[in-house]
Amino acid sequence: MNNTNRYARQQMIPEYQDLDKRLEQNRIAIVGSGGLGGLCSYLLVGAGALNINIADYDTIDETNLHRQILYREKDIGEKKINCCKRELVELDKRANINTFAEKITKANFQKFTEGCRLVLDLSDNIETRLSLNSLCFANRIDLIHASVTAETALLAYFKFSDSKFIDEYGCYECLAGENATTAKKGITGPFASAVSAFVANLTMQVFTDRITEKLGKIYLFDLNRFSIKSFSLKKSPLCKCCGTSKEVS
Amino acid sequence: MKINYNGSTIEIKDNLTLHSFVLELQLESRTIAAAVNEQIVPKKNWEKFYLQEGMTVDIFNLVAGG
Repeated sequence: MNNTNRYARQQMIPEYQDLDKRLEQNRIAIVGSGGLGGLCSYLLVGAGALNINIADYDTIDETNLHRQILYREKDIGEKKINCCKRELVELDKRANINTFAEKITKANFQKFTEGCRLVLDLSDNIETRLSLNSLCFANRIDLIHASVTAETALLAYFKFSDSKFIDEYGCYECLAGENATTAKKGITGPFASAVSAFVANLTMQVFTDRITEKLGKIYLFDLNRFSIKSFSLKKSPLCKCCGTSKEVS
Repeated sequence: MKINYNGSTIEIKDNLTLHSFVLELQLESRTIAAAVNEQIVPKKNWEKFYLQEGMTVDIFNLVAGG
């Protein structure tokens, strides 16, 4: 395949003329390869993000198939991460995908994010989300948070590499609280896929420096009202994660 | 006094903090986030944040699925 023309339609967009090169020059860390992480990673590899570290310790079961569109019936019982890599490499054989079939914790965070300036939190539980927020903050690695349930989704970019951002907008824990919890609710394929696409788009905008007006905001998607609202983030001086002076570990 | 809460105008008591407002609504604070006039109010500030006439309050569920 002639890769010179692979991105021709994408490159017709003036802002994305060098998107594939910018993506290829970076490595992105993605937590989760399910309803959000699966399709999002696929879209990013398609756009030229050929270097991805992706983590997921789940196996595929039948209840995943209605929304996790990378997986097939034949994959049931297989490690999600292995099937995800298979699909990404099938899309672009140049893709360099490092898989982590393990929970991302303080113990393996450095290895997981080696060479990465951005983590996508596309996990599926609030404990992991609070932990990743804390780890990304402590290591000053930028974080995109995206979460989806039923007819509500949240999307935010935390530029932890920028101390001014932290001073003004804080972190995910500032808004959620350290004891945050969520009820397990339903989720649909179309909405998970839609949010996956928004995450991929936001990532593309991060790597092409088109993020200014989105800095310091959290986006609330309400499918019931068909609306997207944005709210300015606000740092809490009392936040246990970012509220006190912390050194980069 | 009147405020706008999640798109509807409602009447609330005077001198009500955001924390008290959430309690009156019988919401579980650990599962939600709140914004006033399109700015997030950090959860640790809720007890000292007094609602005022005409404010726009948005309260939404935290979600974690992926």
